[in-house]
Amino acid sequence: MRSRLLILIFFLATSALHAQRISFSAAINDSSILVSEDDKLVSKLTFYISNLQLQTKNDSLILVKDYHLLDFSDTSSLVIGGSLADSNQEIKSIQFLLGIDSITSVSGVFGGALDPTKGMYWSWQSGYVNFKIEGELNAEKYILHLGGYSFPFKAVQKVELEVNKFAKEYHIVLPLDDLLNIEIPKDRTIMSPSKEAVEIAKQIASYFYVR
Amino acid sequence: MKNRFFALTVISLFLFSFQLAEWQGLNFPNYFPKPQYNFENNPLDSNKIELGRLLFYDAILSRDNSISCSTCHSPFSAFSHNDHQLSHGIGDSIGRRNAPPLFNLAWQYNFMWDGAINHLDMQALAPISSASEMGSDLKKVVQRLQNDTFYSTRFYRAFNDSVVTGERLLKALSQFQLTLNSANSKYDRVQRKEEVFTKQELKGYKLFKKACNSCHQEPLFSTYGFQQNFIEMDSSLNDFGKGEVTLFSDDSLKFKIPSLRNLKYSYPYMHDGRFYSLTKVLDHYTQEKTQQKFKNSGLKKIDLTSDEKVDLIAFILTLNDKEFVFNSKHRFPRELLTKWRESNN
Repeated sequence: MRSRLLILIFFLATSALHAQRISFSAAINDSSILVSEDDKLVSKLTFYISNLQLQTKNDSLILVKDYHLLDFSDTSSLVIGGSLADSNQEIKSIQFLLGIDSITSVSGVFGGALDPTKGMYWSWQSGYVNFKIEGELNAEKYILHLGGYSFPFKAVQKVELEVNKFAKEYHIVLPLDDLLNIEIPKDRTIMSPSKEAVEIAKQIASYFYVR
Repeated sequence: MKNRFFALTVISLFLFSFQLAEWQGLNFPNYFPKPQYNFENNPLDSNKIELGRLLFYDAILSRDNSISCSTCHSPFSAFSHNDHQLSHGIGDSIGRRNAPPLFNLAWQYNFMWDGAINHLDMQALAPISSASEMGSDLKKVVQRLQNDTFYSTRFYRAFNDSVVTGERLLKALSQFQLTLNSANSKYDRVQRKEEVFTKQELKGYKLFKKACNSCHQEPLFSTYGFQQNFIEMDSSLNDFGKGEVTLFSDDSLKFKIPSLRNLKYSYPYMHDGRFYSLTKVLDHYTQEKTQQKFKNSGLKKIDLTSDEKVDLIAFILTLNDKEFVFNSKHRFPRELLTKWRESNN
C-alpha cells in the first residue's frame, strides 16, 4: 500500500516536472482577442497548424502534435499540453506548418482535427482551408479562406520561431494588425486557391512570435 | 480415388490459371493494373460496405430527404443517370454536367469531369454540399445520422462504435463504391478465353486499338487522364473543365476521359450529355473539323469509313457488362424500405 502511494507520488512529481504546454493567442493592438459570431471586426478565426515540433539544444526534434485546429471562439483549442520534452532541456526553436501538407491533402479522409465536418475542407474542390478569417472592416465584410495544396498555389507555410530557453509554457502570438490594416484592404474575398492566397499566407506566417 | 484427385487438381489448376487477382480484399482480373486506392487507410469490410450501400441509397443525405446518390447514379444505368443530359438535384434544379457512371473507381485518381476532387473518400462531399444536388452539408448529415437509431446501430456494426463522424460516413460510402467493379463484359470473357469475338467485333477491336486506345486504354478503357475532345463549348454552360480548377490555360476545355465500358447503359455521352448515340460520337470524332484540331494538337487522326464505324461500335458493345448492371449486391437494400415504413408509422 505504502509503496503504491510512493509510486503515485513519484509519478505525480515527475509528470508535474515535465508538464509543459504550448498555447496560442491572437492579438490586436497587443491585447489578445477571442472571437464570436456577434463580433464585428473579427467574427471567425480558425486555422490549422500541423507537425508541431520542438527543437532541443542538441538539435533533436520532439513531435508535439501532428494536426491541430485552432478555433479562437473556443479557448480549449488554444492550448496544446502534455509532457513535451523528456527532461528540462532548453528549447532552441518551435517549428510548425501553418496549414496542411500536400501529401495529407491528397490521401483521403481523416478523423479528429482533419474531419471534414470541422468546416475546414472545401467541398466543390478537394483541399483543406488552412486559414480562415472573417469579419467586417470599415463597414465592409471580408472573408479570407486560404488554402491550396498543389503547385503553384500551395498555401501551406513553414513557421520556425526562436525560443532559446526552457519554460513550462511557450506562448505563441499571432498579431493580426498587419493582416487587418494592410492585407485585407487589398483583398477582401478569397475563397479558393490562388496567387493572392499564397502571398497572404506567407505574410501571416511571418507574424507569429513566441512570448 | 486417385483419378478423382487428379481430375480435381486439373480443374483447380484450370480455375487458377484464369486468374482473379486480389488486392486488399478487392477481386479483379489479373489483366487489370494495380488499383490506385490506398486500402490500408480504409480496409474493405462487409459491414462497412453494407453501411455504405444503405447511405448511397438513402435520401437522408439531402436537405429535404428528396435526393440520394442513386437518384443520379442508378445501378441499371451503370450508376449514371441515363436519358438525362445534365444531372438533376434538389427542388428540380439542374446541374451543369452529365452524371458519370460509377464503376472501377479503385483505379481512378481524380474525380469529377474536371478532376476537382483528388480522392474517392472526398468525392461525396461535393454532391452533399452542392446547392443544385443535395443541398445539405456534412455536419448536418452527421447529426441527422447520429439521431437515427437505425444508423447508430449500423455504425456500431461497422466501426465498433456508434458515434457517427464525417470520416466514417465518407469511408463507408467509399467502401460500397469500391465494390462497384465491372469486369464481366464479353471483352473480359474473351480475355479469359471463355468466349471469342465475332469477325466484326474483331475488326472493330483492331480499329479500336488504332484509333481509340491511347485515351481509352485497355483494360479499363480509359487512362482516366484529361483531354480535350474538341466539341464546341455550349455557351449556356460556359464549361472550361479542368482549366476552371487548375487555372492553367493548358487545361482549358479538358475533361476526364470516360471509360468505354457499359456505354449501352449510360447514354447520353460527353460531359454535357449532348450525344445520344455512339454513331453521333463517332461522327463528331471523324468529321474534318475535328480531325484538323486533333492534328494541330499532335493527336492521332481518327479516320473511319462508315463500315468501319459499324465495326468499331460492334466492338464497343462487347464492353457492356450485364452482370455488373444487374448485380443484386449493388442494388437498393430492402432494409431501407422497412426503415422508411417504420419511420412513417
